[in-house]
Amino acid sequence: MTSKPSIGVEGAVALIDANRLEQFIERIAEITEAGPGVTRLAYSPLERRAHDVFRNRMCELGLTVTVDAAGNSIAELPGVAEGSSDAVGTGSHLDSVPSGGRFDGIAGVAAAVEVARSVVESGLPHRRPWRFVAFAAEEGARFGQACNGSRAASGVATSAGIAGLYDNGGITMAEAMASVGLRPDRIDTAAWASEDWHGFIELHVEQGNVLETSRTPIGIVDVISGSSRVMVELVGTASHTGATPMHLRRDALVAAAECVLLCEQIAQNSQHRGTRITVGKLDVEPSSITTIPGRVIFSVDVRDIDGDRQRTTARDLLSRFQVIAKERDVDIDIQIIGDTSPAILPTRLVDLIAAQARAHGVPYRIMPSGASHDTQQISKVTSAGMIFVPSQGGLSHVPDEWTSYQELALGTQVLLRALYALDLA
Amino acid sequence: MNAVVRRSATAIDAALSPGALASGAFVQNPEFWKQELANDIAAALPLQAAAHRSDGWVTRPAILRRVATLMGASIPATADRIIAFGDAAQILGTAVALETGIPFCVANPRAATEAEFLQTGTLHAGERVAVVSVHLDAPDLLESLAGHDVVVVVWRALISRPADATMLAADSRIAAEFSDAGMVAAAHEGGDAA
Ligand SMILES: [Zn+2]
Repeated sequence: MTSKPSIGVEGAVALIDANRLEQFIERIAEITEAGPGVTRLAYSPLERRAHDVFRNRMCELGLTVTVDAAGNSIAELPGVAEGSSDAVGTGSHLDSVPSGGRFDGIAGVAAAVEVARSVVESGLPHRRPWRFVAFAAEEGARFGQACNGSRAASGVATSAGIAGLYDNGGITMAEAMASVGLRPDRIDTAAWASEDWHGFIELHVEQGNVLETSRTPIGIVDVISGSSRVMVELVGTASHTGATPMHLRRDALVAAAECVLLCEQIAQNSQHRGTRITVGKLDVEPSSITTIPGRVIFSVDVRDIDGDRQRTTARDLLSRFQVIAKERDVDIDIQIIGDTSPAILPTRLVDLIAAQARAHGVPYRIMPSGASHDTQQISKVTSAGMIFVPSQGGLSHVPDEWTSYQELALGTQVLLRALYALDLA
Repeated sequence: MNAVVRRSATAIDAALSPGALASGAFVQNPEFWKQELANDIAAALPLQAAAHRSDGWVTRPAILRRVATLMGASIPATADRIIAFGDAAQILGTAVALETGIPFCVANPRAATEAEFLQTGTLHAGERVAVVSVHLDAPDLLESLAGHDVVVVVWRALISRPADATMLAADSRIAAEFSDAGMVAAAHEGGDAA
């Protein structure tokens, strides 16, 4: 594999090809359910087919590919240094949300494949093993919990812990995993050991519009937001809209509306720069023009780069929701459905990636990630960094999600240089 | 009106304190909280990790706030004043003062003259003072404070080094939130390189 003459890392960088990145992404995008955009849900047969494409591509390049109990596909390229088993890694995920785009996750896997190809074809010698990872089931859309493959890799996931996860059709995550040949009962065997890793860098599309609006091709992530999530149920009295005077109503929707506005108000005050609060789901019953809403269920997602502030804010919201409910005489039931801390990514990796960008005149921004990513989990195992490439119009999780292949190629070049620098570090 | 706060059995990292729902939903398990803080401080250390420069974390409010919370909790109610010294003393003193509401001053134990001892604020004879610092690298500090006729009620450092063991053992008022070894462990493998 390394028998060809080496022309250094820039020789490998020169082989990064926007057309090949496009071909891989188009190939994966074909693997979808019918309908708009891309639908390739977590632990579905389609997701496994995408993993097969990844595996075949890596096998063609001569890499050894393994699939763990949680469905993560890991391709390894051995290093030349004797006794160096702590690997340098890169990768992302291959699943999508319903009617999502073709870049979220796939861009990072395409970059990993392209890095592997250019390293193999240029014969670039590297000291440590390089591992290329396609994580399974990153999107939380199907089972309510995100980063399932990387949670297993970080050792957080247990068979008992995943037992309560199920999709809208009542299929448990364990059943879905088993039905595509994975081993939910052995999910703990997917855990990575820190000593096997030297560092990990994920490339991902930004999914926001900071890079595009600042005309910057590269984002380097220094912190990944955490989130605290609740479902709030408000129960008042459903009754006739004409016959019930205003002062005798127990309108659950009006109370919910007050809660929603409170969320926005808190997130916008000067103590919450970096906090993002969203009510993204709100169901009204009986949902009739002529009946006062008797019951409302809504979600609240508090995201923050400051874990303490995130939880204080969530706590504050819950107690103020209770005050609103009391004032409006509706019953309130709050269920905490998720809580994840933000992860500060090591300065060492941020600086290492920034140095590569600077050295080649690539403008960059240091930025937080509002979305969660596999790297957040992997940072529990090893030093982890993230490179963002621009999302056109800031769109993501929609069919129109787009990143130019030239920009993806530029990001992949920075990724390769950073991995090489990490290999030497 | 009925108000209920429940916690879903799944989908939550083992981070929240059990049984904390009624009074304080979203209260993290204290050990978990402290470990995350150690991880974040270690992650934010600048490249010259061995130099223990604090710039990496004192400039991030998300970390500084938690450090102030942690150190503020160890300052007894009897303290009249906080004295900060050493690495990032101005920042640490400000943060812990904001957290606790206790006035502070910044001292330089290595000052050549008495007039230069206080860099910010004042200090008066008879005051009960709580010392805060990132490290414990001023062995004569207690002596010079005794010279000012103040009573040191506690000295909290953020990170102790192996060399501080004697000092920590000798005086029960002195304590550190994290040990150097613990911070390095928290920095993950590889955190020592580059
Ligand atoms: Zn993604």
